[in-house]
Amino acid sequence: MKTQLRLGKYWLYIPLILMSIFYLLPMYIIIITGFKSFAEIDLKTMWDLPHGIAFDNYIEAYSKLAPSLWNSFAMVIPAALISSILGSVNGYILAKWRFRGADVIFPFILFGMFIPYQSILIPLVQFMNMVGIKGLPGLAMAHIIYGIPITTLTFRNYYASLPQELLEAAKIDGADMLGIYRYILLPISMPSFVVVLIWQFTSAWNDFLFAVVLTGNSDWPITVALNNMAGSQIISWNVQMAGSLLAALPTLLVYIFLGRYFLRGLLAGSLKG
Amino acid sequence: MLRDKDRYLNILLISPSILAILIFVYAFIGWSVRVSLSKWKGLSADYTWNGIQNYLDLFADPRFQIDIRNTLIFTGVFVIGSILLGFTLAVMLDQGLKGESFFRSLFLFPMAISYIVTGVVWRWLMNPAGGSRTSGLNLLFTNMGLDSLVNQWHTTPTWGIAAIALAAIWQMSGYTMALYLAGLRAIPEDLKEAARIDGANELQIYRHIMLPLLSPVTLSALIILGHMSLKVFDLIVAIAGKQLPLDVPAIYMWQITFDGLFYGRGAAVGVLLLISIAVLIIPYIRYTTKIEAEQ
Amino acid sequence: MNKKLFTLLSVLVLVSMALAACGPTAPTESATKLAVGIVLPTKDEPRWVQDETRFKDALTAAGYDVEILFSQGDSAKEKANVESLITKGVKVIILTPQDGAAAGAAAEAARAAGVKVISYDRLIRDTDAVDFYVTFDSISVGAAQAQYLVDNATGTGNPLYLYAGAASDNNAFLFFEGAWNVLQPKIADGTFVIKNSSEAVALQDKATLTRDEQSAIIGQVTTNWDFNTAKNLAEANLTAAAAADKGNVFILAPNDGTARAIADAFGADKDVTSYAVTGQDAEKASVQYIIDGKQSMTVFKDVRTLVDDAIAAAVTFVEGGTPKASNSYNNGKIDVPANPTVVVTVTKENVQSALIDSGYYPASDFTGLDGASVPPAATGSVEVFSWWTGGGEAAGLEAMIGVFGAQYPDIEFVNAAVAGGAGTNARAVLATRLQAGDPPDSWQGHAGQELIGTYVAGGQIEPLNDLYEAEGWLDVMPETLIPLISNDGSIYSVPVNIHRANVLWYNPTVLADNGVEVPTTMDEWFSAMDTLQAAGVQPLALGEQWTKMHLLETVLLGTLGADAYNGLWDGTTDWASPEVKTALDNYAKVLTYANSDSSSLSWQDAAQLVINGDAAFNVMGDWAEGYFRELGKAPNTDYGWAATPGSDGVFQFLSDSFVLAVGAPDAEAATAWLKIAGSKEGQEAFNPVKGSICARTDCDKSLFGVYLQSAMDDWSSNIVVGSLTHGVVANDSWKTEIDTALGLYIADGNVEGFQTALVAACASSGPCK
Repeated sequence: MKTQLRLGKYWLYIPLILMSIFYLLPMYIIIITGFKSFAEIDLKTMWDLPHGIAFDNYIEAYSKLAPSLWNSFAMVIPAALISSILGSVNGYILAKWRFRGADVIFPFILFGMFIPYQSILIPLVQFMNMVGIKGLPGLAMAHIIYGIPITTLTFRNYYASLPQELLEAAKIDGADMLGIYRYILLPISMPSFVVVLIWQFTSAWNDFLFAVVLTGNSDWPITVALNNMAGSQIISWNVQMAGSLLAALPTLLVYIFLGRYFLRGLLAGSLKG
Repeated sequence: MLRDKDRYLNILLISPSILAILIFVYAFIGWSVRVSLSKWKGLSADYTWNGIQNYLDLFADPRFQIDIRNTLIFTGVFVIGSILLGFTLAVMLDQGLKGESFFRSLFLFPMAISYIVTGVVWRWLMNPAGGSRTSGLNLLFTNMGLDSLVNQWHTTPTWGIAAIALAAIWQMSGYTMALYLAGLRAIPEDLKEAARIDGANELQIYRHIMLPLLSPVTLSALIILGHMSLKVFDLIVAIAGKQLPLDVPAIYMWQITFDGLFYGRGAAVGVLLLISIAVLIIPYIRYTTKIEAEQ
Repeated sequence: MNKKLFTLLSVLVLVSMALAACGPTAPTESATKLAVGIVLPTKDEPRWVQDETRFKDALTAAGYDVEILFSQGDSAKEKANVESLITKGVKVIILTPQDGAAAGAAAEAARAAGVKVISYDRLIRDTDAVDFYVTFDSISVGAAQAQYLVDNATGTGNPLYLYAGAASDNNAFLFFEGAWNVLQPKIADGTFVIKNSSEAVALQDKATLTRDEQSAIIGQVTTNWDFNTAKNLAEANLTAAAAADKGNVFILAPNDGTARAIADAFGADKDVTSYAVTGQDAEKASVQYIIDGKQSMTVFKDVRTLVDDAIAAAVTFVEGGTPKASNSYNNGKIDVPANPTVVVTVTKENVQSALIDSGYYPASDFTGLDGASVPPAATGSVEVFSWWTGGGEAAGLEAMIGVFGAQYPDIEFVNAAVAGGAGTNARAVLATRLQAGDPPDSWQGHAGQELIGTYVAGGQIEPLNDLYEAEGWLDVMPETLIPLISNDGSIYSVPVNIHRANVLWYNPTVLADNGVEVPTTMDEWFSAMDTLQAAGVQPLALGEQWTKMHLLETVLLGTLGADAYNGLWDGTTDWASPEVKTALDNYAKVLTYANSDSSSLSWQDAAQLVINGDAAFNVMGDWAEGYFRELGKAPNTDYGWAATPGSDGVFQFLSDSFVLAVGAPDAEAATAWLKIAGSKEGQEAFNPVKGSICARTDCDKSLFGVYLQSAMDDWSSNIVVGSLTHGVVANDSWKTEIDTALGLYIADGNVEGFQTALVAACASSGPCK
């Protein structure tokens, strides 16, 4: 089954490497700037390597970010998992177990994605104060709920692309709705879970707007800490860049870890069954 | 076809989500609509009825017209660019090459870094200064002898916003790639085998078999990218600050609400944004879901 | 369920639980490695034994192992101690030299092994192997003593008696120098008349004294640090003085021992109606004198703070950083960087909080403490919202919180700072909190219409006139400032710092190379920029849109003059007038000299063009000076400054200020915070670090650099007008409309249209009808 473009499959490395350069150029700037001293930051010399490899910026950034790291994990992991699971269940129902009104429900949920968050900050904070869910749990809740449209969309459209026969066969075998979900769909949902978890993890991890209004200074997640490293007038871009690389590391690890589940072999077997 | 137990189970399972969306989206939108019809200006809430005056003011505002133009350009460049690039990358990575996971992580990585920082990097890269102060990408192009590529980037009149879209493509095409990759991996091998036996070449297989099957994924990508482009805010502010040639509704809304305290007019921007989305997107979704249902 | 999916989910859940269990307490450094070594002079003096305990406790708590050795008064043993610590692999040595010069060899041995050396309390002399010096600043001690006298003198002709330490002690000179800096202007203006030193009288018009001149004075008034010498000298002075030279006298006494001796002598003289006498060291006997009203004040050098600062510096070195230095001391070979520890003035009013409540002395050591004169310590907590999170701003805020903590040890300070370009994010967060009915006790805002138009109009902040009265702030803030921060006679905020907006920065080399003088009028500026442009030099560096508004306000001021500029904001200058048209034409012309890539540059990038010599001029607020310094540039050689053309003699200011929330959860604690924010001590702690000047006009100039000193002179003598871009003169709505009009103008270049839009903006959100 390893096939495809036998002839000249390897020429693909040429465009891939070219694209890699495009993706790496800004990364290069972020990394080298993170090693520069404040006085070395200058538009003219932005491509130049730093004068020495000093980890001062990273150490400074780490000391400022470390206390918030835990807050971010405590908020992001439940937010990503719960809204992915909700989205998967919603998507399954909307794609394969339509009920009367399902065609209305899908756009109804989806529409939530387009709400400009800046315009609902005030009612959001008022509502959270009213129901008394404050701090990290409130922030996680906001990410779960505002994540539902996108997770539902991704799963619904993924499940919709699966052939209906897959389900019919199982139904004939006597499986009920939950049975089909568990034994037929979940096993082949890994790549979609990856995509959705990546989205949710990244957007909750990098979110600043909700975090800054829903949490206080004792439970600020890492983006607020990162933002607070900058003064309102003078910004040390070297420390800022070092800090953002540190802050991006957990996300990168998640990508690498989850990326394994893209592997083809995982689903080849189940689909044939 | 539905068994009785399942008929209620599915509604039961989906209702918490519906309830949450009802409050967190629709109730809040209702609040926004109410504010947009009020005279609220300043810090203390003022719900005095003002009719549609805020909307009329907006349509008369030359700044809002710039916003609409910029949003259209940005959305076009960003969505089309990300989908083309994302799909191409996904197809290339789907060939089972060695190092696939490396490339995949590499293309995804830009998404992991906050806009505030990538915005600054792009501002440096896209510095338009000439002569002895040439820097960023222009300097790189000059040194490589590609002088024809040297340009004014985001300071180009009218089309400057497209340069910002380039930075957004850099950030989001990796995710589009992942969406397509997940879709491609779900297509059963047998379908491709069958086509191959029928004598189709690889290009034809992608064109005629894979692409139609991937249309729901393309829909997801369109919607996800589209919603980002309509709400784009941090990236522009980080690259270019708040300046009129690169203004978009989200920035206008932020400035007019939190800097200028015109709460009524700010809410009107938000509501208009939502209405335009509703007009553009909802019929398309209804249409696609209907087609699917008929198939 | 699919096994792999299940594994994945379980792993994630486990990871999150593991983080929940150990996240917040996990130590960040391995606690077992010996990182810091300390060498102290002798175990025979209680001071060093106490320090040993303090160092040990604090470093252990911070997660570092420490070894402390004593030299027992022997420089050879000291060197052996240092060497043994080096072999044990320490990264930092804190050393108090037994003999400053003899310790050089030990320090050099450490330097050779790559170990950082912190000189603690005494300076290691004549070597370059000292990395940092932790000390109290002797000059500021003298300044604090003199300031007390100045603060408590009214009218003119107050008799002043000067006393100094031993002429053989360098510190005595430093104390005297600090005192002279503060006293001399007040002697020159007649507030004080020196009664006991002919040498001092002869030199009383000299602001700065040479060492020889100081010697001459100290020779006449030395106490030799000796109780009896001081007493005899004071009695001799009193005998020599006529009754008219007594009355209400002011006495500069160098330390507590001599202060008590001198106080006894003056107290016994029947012609002395009252006396104010200074001191130093917070000795127990003097604290009792202060409680009893027999000594006026003492300067408290809290050794515990010194220990804390030494540890902070050591930890910074261990973690690979460099401690922040605000000063340096010459040790005969190099200038050793230092960040002198803050000294505290203790009077009868704060003796309880500064010395007893802070745990320095037990209350039982003194009598008469519980008298009605000592107010009960305030308690509670105050949440203060600001956008000072990074760099000098955050460090300055910390310093001010330190002052707050010393005065109100029982009030918890909650620092709710949120960053964001000049407070943009912070303001949105604040607006959201206010809408949700959850205000912080006090928050930061730009003084002026930004506060008045927003929070006063919204009924969110309290007037503070009573506080201004009680604290005497009306006397120490410029008269022209008060109307700008008031509305209908009510003052609404406490300004902490002042920045100047109308500053023209230039590159002196570029100007000199092209034979261009610093312009003082718009026309001079234009011809200067013509010359530069003809020579192929970029005349003006400009950045993104807000910097263009900043430029606009300075051109409006430079063209219209202060009165008409002020009129723009109160409705007396017509926006449609030909004068405004001229100003806008000038602005249009200025823009033609600017770099074409302005909209892609931040203000830092634009300012850097001037520093690099890529452009000649830049108009920016004086926070640019802080940036230049951070880049390691020197004033007057790498960069020069002047008032923007046409605005000489006018100070266009902006100011960060704090307010009192209506319905503040703890209004009493919030008021305590405001008292610190408006106090001399608070502002002197904040501003030198932040790189701004005090809103008060009585701050100690010696704490500031050369640019800021010039700004302080201007602040107290110039006409004060407010900045548009930074929230002083126009409310937020108006400013936003002007910003939009400016943006459209920059896009289409139509000056008439711009003026029409400005007229409309004033009508819609300003005072114009």
